[in-house]
Amino acid sequence: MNDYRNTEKMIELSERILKIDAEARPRFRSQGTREATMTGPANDGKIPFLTAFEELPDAPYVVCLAQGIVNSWLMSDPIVYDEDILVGTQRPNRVMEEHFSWGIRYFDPKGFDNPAYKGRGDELRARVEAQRSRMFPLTHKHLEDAYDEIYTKEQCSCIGSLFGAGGYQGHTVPDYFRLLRDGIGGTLERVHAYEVNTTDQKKLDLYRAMTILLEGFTAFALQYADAAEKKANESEGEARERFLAVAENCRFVSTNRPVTLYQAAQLVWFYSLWDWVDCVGRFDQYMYPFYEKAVREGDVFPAEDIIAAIFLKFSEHGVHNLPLGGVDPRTGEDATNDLSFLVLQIGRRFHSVHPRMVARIDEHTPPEFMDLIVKMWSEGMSDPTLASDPLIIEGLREYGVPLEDARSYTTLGCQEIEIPGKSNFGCEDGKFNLAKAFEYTLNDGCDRFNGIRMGLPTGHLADYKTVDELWDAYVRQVNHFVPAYLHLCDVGQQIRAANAAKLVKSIFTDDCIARGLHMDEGGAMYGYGVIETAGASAVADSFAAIDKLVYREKRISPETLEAAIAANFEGYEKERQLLLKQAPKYGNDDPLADEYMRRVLDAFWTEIGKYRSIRGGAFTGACSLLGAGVGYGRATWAMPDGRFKGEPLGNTIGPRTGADHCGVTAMLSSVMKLPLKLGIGGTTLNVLIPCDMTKTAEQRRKIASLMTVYMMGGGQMAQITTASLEDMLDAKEHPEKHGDLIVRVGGYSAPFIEIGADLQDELIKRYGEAE
Amino acid sequence: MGLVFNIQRFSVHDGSGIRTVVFLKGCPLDCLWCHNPEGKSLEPQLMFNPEQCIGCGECAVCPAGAHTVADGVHTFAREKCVRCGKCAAACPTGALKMAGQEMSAGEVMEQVLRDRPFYERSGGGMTLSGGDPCFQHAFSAELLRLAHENRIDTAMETSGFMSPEVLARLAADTDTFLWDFKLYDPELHKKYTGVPLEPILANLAALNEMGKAVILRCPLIPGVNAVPEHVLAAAALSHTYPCIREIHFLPYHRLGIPKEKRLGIAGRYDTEEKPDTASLLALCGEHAACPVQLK
Ligand code: SF4
Ligand code: SF4
Repeated sequence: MNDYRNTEKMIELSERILKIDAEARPRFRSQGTREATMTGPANDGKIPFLTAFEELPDAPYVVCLAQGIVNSWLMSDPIVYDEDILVGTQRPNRVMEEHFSWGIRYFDPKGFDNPAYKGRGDELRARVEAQRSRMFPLTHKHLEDAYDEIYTKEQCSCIGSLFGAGGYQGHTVPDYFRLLRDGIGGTLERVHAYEVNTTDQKKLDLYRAMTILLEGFTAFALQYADAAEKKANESEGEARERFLAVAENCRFVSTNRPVTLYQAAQLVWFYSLWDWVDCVGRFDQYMYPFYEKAVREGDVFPAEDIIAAIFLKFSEHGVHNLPLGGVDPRTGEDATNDLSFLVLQIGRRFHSVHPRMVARIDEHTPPEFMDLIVKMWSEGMSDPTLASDPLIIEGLREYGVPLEDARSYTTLGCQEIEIPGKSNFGCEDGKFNLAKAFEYTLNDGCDRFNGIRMGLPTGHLADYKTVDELWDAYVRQVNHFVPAYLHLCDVGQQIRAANAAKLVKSIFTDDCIARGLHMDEGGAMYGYGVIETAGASAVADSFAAIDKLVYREKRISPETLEAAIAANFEGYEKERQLLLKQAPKYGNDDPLADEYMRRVLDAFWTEIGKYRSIRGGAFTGACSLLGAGVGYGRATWAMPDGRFKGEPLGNTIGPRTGADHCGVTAMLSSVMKLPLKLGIGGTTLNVLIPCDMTKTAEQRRKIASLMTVYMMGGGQMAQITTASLEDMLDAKEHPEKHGDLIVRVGGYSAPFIEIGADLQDELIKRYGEAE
Repeated sequence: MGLVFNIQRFSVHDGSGIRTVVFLKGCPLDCLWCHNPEGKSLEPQLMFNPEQCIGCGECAVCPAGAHTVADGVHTFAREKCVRCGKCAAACPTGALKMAGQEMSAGEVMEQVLRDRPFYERSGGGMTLSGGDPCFQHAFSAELLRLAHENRIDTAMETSGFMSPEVLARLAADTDTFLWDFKLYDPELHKKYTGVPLEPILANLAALNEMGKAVILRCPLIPGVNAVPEHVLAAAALSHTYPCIREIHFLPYHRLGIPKEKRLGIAGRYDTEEKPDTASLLALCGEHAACPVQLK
């Protein structure tokens, strides 16, 4: 018997699960990862999506769309693997199949040049062209036109360095509680109940589309039942019994509401496939009643095996977010349960990077839960990420979400936040590079790369008498862009709305059925817009440096700094060193730098909060986009924080990489000063913890306390990395990026970059041997 | 006012919980292998790290003319230096730094108190280290008192070499002593650390009387004390003085060497020899009256 709360011992999985794992592992993320699903060629020339439009020439768009989606699913062969107890695989990649969660991907006619079409490319292209206006009510062209209306051609060519608007937004989590409560059949009844009570043709069209989808789902589940039955007939003994069980399970959940854990798991898995496998919401909460019953009464397979099997499906398909723990929506009491522990233990045992687990931490999170989490970090995992219940719930409340809904929040995507089953979350409505706006501020509103005027002619550094004048100019510069920018974000959303991009999710998102509206046209209860930011720490550090070195100490004149920046510091190494080393940096619990960081975020988030997205809710900030800091960094000129042109900008809420050197508590204290409640779209923070600070149980308790303070004291989310050999190798090459790397040398902690080359080599050698 | 050369937050290896370590200048001992050479002197000292120097010439502000830069090459004549700190203030790269800063007890406490929430969650607090905090004992006593006033746990890392009066004064507000035991043999102790062992042991006895918690800390220096006799002596002490709760062994490392260079001190002790710490630890463990750990 496994004790899921025991942190010292790995759980032992059954023979059956080990077999499934061995069979599934080679497929992990190989079948067209989620991110790549829109690109593959149709290797058999079938275009199920197109066929729907051709076969229903007079049907309304949503109906054709629903049929196209169903066709796409039914035309791909159901695969039942030899060891499976839960079934369902992603569709093979085909051009033009990604019309729901991603939002309409504008169609790339070149896709048909792929040799896989065996010379039929031209014919297919012609057919697509013929249906094109029906298949894409609005395309990317719509957004491009909107840009052209606001900006000149020249400006359009470089506005991408400042912001991106109207990005895809596939993330949002359907209501898995309702799915399990009503089943597919019950949901169909619900749709019909509304259908018979309206005469509004638009609503009727939507209900018809939903019906097609739900019936298609049933047919899809039955295909799997047949496939499993076929396999049963070809097998004998245990395998035959197993495939028969699989077949019966699929048949049952094709319409019925699930009663057992096994049924619930199969239904959840089928549906998350249709939902483009992203985030599965509060899995440990909606599954718990089934799990508890299975443990008590038994099931076709042991409860642990069923959970491990669906976990492996999550891994195989790269599910992004699996939140665990946190409070109960009604009582507000901690709701961490055995299943929360079990899922963590399974993730630990598989040492997996997918699904990405998130632990919701509240005031009464069981200490053993934190212990297990830190233990997982100590074993080299960076999962689970932590999310703070108090801060996030309060932030959502202030945003206007009622308490019970706020408490049921989930994480999704790149660690953003939403209310599952009720939101049309504007993840990546847009992203904004604050550092670029600062670049304009020091250059009379012009882009330094090409001199093109982008913003307000606010002047140059030497024109600002005080740092406050500079601040005002910066804020004016940012605010100048905001209205047009948010308008463009909305235009991007118009495309999704016209294309009914989230039709599948709409069925399980309140109140789409009752309102007769799909998610993007106002069906969802919460329709907030989210703007991701990059470069905030670079702006804060630049302000701190200018404040101190130019205005207070006058160690650099405005003219010299201006020249140094213009020259990308070439010939100005002395000034760059001053800026880099003699000015405070955000992340060190320094009042000046931290206050600038607070102001930078507060100014931007407050400003965007004055506007409402076309989905109805106000815009809110986020800072969690993985990778945005690198791309935007390339497009941003040298900054007064000592950063060269093109170097990466921070993309999380944390300090610039390596800029913090006063210890983790100082770094966390800096972050806790920020108005993270305003960034309720989700802000993540990377925390680096040296491997050898997590070796003993006593040390791990200290790390648990450390992160609990952050979670309870104003932090929002945190992602932990334990420092590794690679970090040290990189730190030798690029010491400036690793001021935060602390190592243990014979009972003594020291910054790695300061211990001298000999010792660095010795440590690297030691770590190398240990790994 | 006191002379502080570092305040290190988020220290998790010494003492209970998450701690802030305040490093105070000045030490009565002169251990050959010292890993904090910048902590020994009771004066601010200039540290120079040529690896970071870009030859910019800002340090030419030196009133004593210790720095010269010709053709982008910088030379430093340390013998001229009178430790005024002007060059370090001017140096943009951090190649020149002063070890030792005058701070009031209030200023230090302001830093220490910043991590209060972390101490409270983890059972941590403030640790005084150095150098040896007993050297600036009036300042140390003040810091310890202020910490207790603020209900913060206190610990002190010390060589133990001080007068009984100073000990009594410091012990009043110290919850845990991290007490060095450097060498078992009085003669060798004198030879390698410059001071006699006897007063240290007498003080340990006094602490035992007072009922203070003590963690015995033994650096293991190859060729000096990484021998069975020493670890057995440590084990024996734990029987004599029940106030010793734990024995920690600290393996030798070479962290002090680059710092010595930056201080302009010729390398005094260096070895690549690796003693068999595991069996020494086991040996001590067998004979000690308390847990033994390698740190
Ligand atoms: S000021 Fe610093 S960097 Fe410049 S020459 Fe002197 S020591 Fe070198
Ligand atoms: S500390 Fe003062 S005297 Fe010594 S080198 Fe620097 S400026 Fe000259």
